[in-house]
Amino acid sequence: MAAETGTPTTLTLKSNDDELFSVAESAAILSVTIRNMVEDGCAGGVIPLDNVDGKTLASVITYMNGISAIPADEEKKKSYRDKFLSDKDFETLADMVLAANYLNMSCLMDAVSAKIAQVMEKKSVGWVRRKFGIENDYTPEEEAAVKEEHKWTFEGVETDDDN
Amino acid sequence: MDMDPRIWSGLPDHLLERVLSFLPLKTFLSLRSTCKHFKSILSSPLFISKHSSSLSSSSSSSLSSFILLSHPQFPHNKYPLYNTVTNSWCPVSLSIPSSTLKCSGNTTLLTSSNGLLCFSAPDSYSFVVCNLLTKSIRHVKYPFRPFAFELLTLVAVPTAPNNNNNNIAAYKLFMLSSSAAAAALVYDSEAGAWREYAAGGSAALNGTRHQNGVFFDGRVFFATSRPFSVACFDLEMGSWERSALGLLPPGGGGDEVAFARLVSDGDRRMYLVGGVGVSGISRSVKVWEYIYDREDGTNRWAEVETLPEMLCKKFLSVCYHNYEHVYCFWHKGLICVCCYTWPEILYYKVCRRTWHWLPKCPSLPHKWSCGFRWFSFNPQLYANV
Repeated sequence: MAAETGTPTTLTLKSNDDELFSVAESAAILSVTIRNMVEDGCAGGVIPLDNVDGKTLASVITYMNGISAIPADEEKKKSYRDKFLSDKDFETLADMVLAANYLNMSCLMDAVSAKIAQVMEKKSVGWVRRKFGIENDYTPEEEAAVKEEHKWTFEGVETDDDN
Repeated sequence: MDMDPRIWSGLPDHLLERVLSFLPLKTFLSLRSTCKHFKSILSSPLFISKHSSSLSSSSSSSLSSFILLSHPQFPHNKYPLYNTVTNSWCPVSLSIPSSTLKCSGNTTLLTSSNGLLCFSAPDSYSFVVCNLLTKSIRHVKYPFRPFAFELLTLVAVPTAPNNNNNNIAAYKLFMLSSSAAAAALVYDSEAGAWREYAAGGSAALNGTRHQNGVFFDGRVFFATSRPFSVACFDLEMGSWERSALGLLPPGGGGDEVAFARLVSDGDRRMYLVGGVGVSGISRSVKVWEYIYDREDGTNRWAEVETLPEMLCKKFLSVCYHNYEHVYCFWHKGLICVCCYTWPEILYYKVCRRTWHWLPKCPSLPHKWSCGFRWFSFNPQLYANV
């Protein structure tokens, strides 16, 4: 790896829809996937990220720049993450979790996963099936039995079917 | 907004599991009927480790804790639950079908400890230890046949209560065999085996058979009255000890202890609820706390509370001065004082130093009188059977 002292190194990332992004190496190596490429000396030219589209990559880079500008202060980092995710819709969150997984960024993964879980709270089984495209593989009898099993724990959980 | 479910259905299982592991346990349980995969996640290692390390955060504490009522006349295996977080009777009773316990014949709920319930299943010569949240069970075969036992005590305490890990990794079942001359028997879930200890020391119990033992400081304690004494069995050493520590100041006007029941939070505190009076008739009910002074190695019972007169009158008339029917247990900061013949519980809230009656279960018919048995039930995902 050709480390030049003084001048910050910039990397060029390419999304799967051929958009190019410049990002400071210090921010980009939050991704373990990118860091490994840099360390292996494969980051000379353009780094192709085959599993991330341009829209999502732009968002991830905003996050990389934002979080790496914050000094080691977990409180501030957390509030940055909360703010960063606050305006993302459910679909974007899905893209983000896949991108964070591909880029191997555990802090972003956890933040996005927690945010998705937060959206899911108080949602009905029907909502979850619809949104996640999950097929109900229970027979009606099995489903009724599973519902019955933990009925006593549901007190206070109000689900919101319309949402 | 119109979302595209294709994105989400393309989410690999391990990512979905990671997302679901962030859900509060209660929410997750209500979503288990989504599909078979969701149901299986409950026992996945990631989910378990995520939820076991967070003692104070959303996960385990979001589940309520309950006082469970058992009565022989309820439909088989139905147990009304009183939610001690919302202070109300749950609209849905807990139902434990025999398929859950995987045994045929009658089962009787005998005791509980943290997330675990212990049943006897005499037809299959075993005890059944069960975690209802994870639906995991263990059949513990009687050590020999025929087997008659008493003072069964289930000891399931967190492995390390002082750090953030409240896993119940192991438990012990203590009992006296009434067939083998009152030998003490201990089943250790880690070893998966029974041990038998010589009968000698159990004579210290002085014939007391009122209440299961309480676990405190590595030992199982029993109280006897008239004369009052406390005996304990050391689970590590397998030995009995007896203490004749007095409850009442000497020469206290002829007063004596008419009945004595122990309660322990399983961790740091042990209390004693006792009736004080003459000729075996209680005039008042008091609570003492066991104090051990590590510096000079002395111990004593310190009186902490006297039951207010009106409550005391009601309680003593409820049990008809027949203290055989009185038993106590600990539930989440409450000392519960019960009587087999009365459908309400008298409880003492330790932190506020207040007494209350737990209201009668609404689904309980008026004419039922005898056989009310209560258990503390704190469902926990991580109590291993």
